[in-house]
Amino acid sequence: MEPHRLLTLFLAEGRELLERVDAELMTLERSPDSRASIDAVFRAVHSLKGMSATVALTETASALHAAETLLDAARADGQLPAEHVATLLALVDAVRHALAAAERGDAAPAVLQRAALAVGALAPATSDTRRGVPDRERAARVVAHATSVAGARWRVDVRIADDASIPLARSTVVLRKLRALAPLLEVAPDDDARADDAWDRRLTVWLGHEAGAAPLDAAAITRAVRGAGEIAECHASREVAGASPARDAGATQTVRIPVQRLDDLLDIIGELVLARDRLERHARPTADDVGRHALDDVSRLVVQLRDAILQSRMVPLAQVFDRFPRHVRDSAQALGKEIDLVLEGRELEVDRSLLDELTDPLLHLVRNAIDHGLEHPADRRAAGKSERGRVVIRAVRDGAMVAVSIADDGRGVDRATVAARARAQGVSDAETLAEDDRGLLQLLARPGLSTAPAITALSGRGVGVDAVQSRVQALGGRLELATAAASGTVITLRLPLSIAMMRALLVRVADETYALPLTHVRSTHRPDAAPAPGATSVLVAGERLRLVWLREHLGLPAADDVSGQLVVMHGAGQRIAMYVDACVSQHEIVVKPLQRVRGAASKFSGGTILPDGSPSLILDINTLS
Amino acid sequence: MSHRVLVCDDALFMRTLVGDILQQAGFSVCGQAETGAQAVAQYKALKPDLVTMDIVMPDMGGIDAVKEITSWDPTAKVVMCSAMGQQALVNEALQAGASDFVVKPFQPNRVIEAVQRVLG
Repeated sequence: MEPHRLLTLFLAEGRELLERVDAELMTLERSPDSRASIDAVFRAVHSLKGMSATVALTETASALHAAETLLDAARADGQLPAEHVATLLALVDAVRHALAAAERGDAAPAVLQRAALAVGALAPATSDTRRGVPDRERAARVVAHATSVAGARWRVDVRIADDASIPLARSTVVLRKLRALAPLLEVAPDDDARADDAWDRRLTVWLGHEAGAAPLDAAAITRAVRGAGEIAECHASREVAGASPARDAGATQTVRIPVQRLDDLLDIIGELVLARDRLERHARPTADDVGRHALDDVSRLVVQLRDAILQSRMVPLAQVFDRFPRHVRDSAQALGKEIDLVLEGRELEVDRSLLDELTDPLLHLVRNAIDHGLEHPADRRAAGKSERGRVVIRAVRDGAMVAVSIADDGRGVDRATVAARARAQGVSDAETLAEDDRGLLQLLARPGLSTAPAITALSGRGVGVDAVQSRVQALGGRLELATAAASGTVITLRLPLSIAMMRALLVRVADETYALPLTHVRSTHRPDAAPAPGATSVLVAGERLRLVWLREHLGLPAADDVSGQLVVMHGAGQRIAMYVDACVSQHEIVVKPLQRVRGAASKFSGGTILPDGSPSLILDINTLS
Repeated sequence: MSHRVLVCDDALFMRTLVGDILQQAGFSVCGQAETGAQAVAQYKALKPDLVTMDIVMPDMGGIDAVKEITSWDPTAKVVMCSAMGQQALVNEALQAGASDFVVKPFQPNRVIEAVQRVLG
């Protein structure tokens, strides 16, 4: 296997194992005697240890070995003490750093050794590999006794190689080989003595004779012993004298595929959809029955293939949600708060690309809830609440959207404080806006407006709801807020399930084609007359709507020819009418992310390639309101 | 015809590595299993010439899987794959019917030697 592929695979699986360890340790913190969790942590640590040693991350392997020893003791005791959980969590973090260092090609960080020492200090003094007590005298006694084995035909003296990794196990292989030839009458030293590190790797076996078996010769015995492997010496001389039922073999089997390959597939199917559209347009009008049937089949199969590819990109929210218990625990400890965390909907599936985008905003909102929302135990008690705060993270499917809400039963957002800060920033109607939740969210999402009385390490400075909101809007979603003094706060992210592919209305402005997400388009109209130049509203089907001139919005010069079309859209909670030169057609498009130019106010949420092969930009509806 | 090997380890990384080592030496990997239970089921379904078996796996460990496999097929050839610090477990596996063992971190030549010894 090429080194690069090996390391990539190692890092990916290693990180998954660490997350599993995290999750199980969380469980153990609450129920230290959970047998299943102790076993699961042990297995994951053990796997990662072996993997680390194989990619020559010896320090990581030895740190994990210390953890494994501790966990093995926990398996024997049937519980993992709480202080061990904290030390193991610190080790998990250190190993995470070590993996990151390995990825960069750096040496293991110093924190790894410190964490390993801390874990080692907790481990029981005796080594797990020692089973018997050293008893060379006993071994000698056994040998002396055995020299007079009754009925023995052959004596076989064996020395296991010095570089053999597990002499005891190798000797067992030797015994297996010999047992295939003849009954073993005596073995010296015995198993316990051979398990001792002080064993000199010498072994003597007396073989009997099975009635009717062909007579043995020294060469056959030596060949058999050497066949056991790792044998330094062998000399043979003549003496005078079953589990649980197997799991269904047809159970789901999984294959791991690099994300890049899934993205490539998506690009290809996107182009295939466009090619199908071209083929339909070109061939159908002149096709005969056979041709039309073939076109129908191609269309149907392309749609099936598209759905299958989109489905293969869906991953459960658990991949993000399972990180929350650790975050919440760490934050709670750092802040001296007590928190119960409830997770719902972790099995809900979303597109992989969305999951990547969702992680940071969600973590941020959870941190906000813990840091700013929940009160300290003493304050909660004074307010007549239970000392333990509650954070509920819930994901529900809502049509083609997913809604993820983060709710806390804390103090609620202080409207007066937010209003005062917004006014200080120059917002004249701050008090009015702060009265309802939508206005309050608008204020909170202003860059630099933080309600924190003290800036904590946890939430950081100045990065807050504004960053989350712009991220969510760029994904074609929106943020909602509901808060009540002394009762708590709910903040909800509504996002499309898939941001990889969408249906779009293509419109033309100044000879350029732009894409509008069809989910936001309500209707299109061809007005009898163009709105008056400079108009800010327009009457559509009896309703007065705010008017957006797309040319103006994009900074393009006004058109000479003003005959155009109106597109009525719904986004960010309001209807608007947008004036465009022309509506072209509806198409399925593959969304390609844009490289964000720092500081540039983007009016676009992504790009795509049109049926004719030309690039087009996807308008960010949220920037219109 | 090349020998068919069933590779059992709960880590994809390890399965891939062992599989690559075997394939480079001309063996064919006919199946993979992530748990002891899967290993037993796969063994019965595939009847491989050889099994490489991790010791610590979820849902039935390697030792119990060896017991199941060798009681179903006494001629089964199983090579245990163990980590450092598992002397006692490796020995138990051998007593349970495994034929040989290799110790992680794997050196390709050691793996191949063990496999060839067992296939004899």
